[in-house]
Amino acid sequence: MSSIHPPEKTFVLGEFATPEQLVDAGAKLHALALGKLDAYSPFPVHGIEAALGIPKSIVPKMALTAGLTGAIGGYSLIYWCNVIDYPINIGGRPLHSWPTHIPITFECGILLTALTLFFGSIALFRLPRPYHPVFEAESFRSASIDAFWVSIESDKQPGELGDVAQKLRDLGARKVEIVRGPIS
Amino acid sequence: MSANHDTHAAATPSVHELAVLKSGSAMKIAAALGLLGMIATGAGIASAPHETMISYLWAFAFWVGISLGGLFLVMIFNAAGARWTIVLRRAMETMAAPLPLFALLFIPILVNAKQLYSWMTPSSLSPELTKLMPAKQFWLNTNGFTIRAVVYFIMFIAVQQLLYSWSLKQDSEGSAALTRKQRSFSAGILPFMAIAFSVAAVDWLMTLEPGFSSTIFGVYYFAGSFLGAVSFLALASALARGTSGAHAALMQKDHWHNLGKLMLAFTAFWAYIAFSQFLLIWIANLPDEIPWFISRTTGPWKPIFWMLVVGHFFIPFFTLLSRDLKMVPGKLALVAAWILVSGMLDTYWLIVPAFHDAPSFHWTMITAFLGIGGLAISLALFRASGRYGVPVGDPYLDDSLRYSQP
Repeated sequence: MSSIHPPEKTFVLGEFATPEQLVDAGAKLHALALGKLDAYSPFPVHGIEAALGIPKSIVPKMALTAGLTGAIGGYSLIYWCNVIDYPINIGGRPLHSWPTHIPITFECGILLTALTLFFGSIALFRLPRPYHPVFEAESFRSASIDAFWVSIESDKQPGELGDVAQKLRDLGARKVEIVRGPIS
Repeated sequence: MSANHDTHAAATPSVHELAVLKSGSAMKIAAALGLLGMIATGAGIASAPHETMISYLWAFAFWVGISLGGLFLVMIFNAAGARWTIVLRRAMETMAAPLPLFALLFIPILVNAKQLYSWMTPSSLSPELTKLMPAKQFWLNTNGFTIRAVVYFIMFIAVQQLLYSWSLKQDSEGSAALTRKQRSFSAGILPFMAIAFSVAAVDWLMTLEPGFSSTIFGVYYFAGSFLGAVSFLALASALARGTSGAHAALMQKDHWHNLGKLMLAFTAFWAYIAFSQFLLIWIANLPDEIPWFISRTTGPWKPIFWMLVVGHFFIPFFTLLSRDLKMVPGKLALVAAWILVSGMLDTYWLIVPAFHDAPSFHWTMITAFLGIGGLAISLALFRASGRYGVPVGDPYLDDSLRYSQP
């Protein structure tokens, strides 16, 4: 069974009342290096990425690569069509009329960037993902309403994580939950 | 998020500790260079009027574009109700402050207009152009040129003075009514200012070749000028970091980042407009339009054309793509300086091919550039001195100081 089921992980969840408490606690947890951290909030919280030590997104690099690939691909396609595969004299213009290639080059760059970002983001978010262990906690629903949650990921069993839960309470968490489930 | 704002405010220097700006050595140096430059240019007009006037128009077009670009920045941010820009507003108003001087500096162009605008001496025109002139005379006549110039400058100066005086009044009164006034006036006057700027570009630069017409020409000159103004703002802010009372000390990382983003956006905008103008004329290949581009993209001018493509678009565009670079004022200022030099080349490429078959240099280019630029910068600094470096009375200043991008 274990071969087709993804590994199980334990998450220690802490709920905070304000975004400032979340950032503050996140920075302290990051310094303690207890495990992989993540944050959940009803709106974007400034500075949380830096506090949790989340590395820079690769999305900009994906966009640049896709844009350049699209632009070069678009230009090459027109060049191949007009100059190599089917050369036609249009109004006496040179076969390789670069000004006419620019709009298509630009459009292909934009198109491939947009498609890459759309599908790339979906892949990075691992969507569609109907289940995540943090949903096991009933009170976690407040993360999309009015509360700010932080999670610490661990391979240990829930029973072994009492000290981490206590740490969260010490940092001012008003609710602490420990959940376990398969993570895909 | 109110509590979050407080944590930011703690790191921000207090506005109330701000001193007013003093007139410093930069103002005196600029004034001295400006006067020397103008005297030398005057000597140039006496000895080589044609060459000197070409240099003078080039320098004038470059500097007035930046000053007007500053005014457009003020108007656009007012009209948009932008809050993050409030810390920069006094600097932008200062960039527009020399506009009355530019009206005076336009007088030499009016007086020596025959040196520049061939349509003012119909006997010198080619037979083809002579045939077209009766239809063009409705616009291309010396009286009209003069009257229109007066109208443009009355509009530019009136708008600049009104917005500046309301903003200064707010420093002592601090009333929100003055913010509302600046916003609604800016929004109402912007379309008319856009038309005036565009038509002025047609009058002063496009009619250098009376046979040529391009409906996007005014936008092209605007795109370059506006990009120049944003770059000048970034460069001047970076240089003013050590000046006491200057806005630059209050600028946060995100303000620099936003200036960099505007520079990136308008680099792309300039390229977009430039290419739109080029592609349509190139592909139509019509006899009254194409000579303008033939002389500018082939033969001895070809290297300048490609220098613009690479230097005014590719280099700044790909440099400014970097997020980290835009947040470092020193590096951003370096790119801004590069864009300004490219802008000088762009204005040169617009004007000089109308007169010369090959790129040429005349010593008055240096004197006219220093003369007009020096006088304009010294007047701007003079008008800024004795006043606050930021609009301290604006109710949204605090919002601007703790601006943090989403």
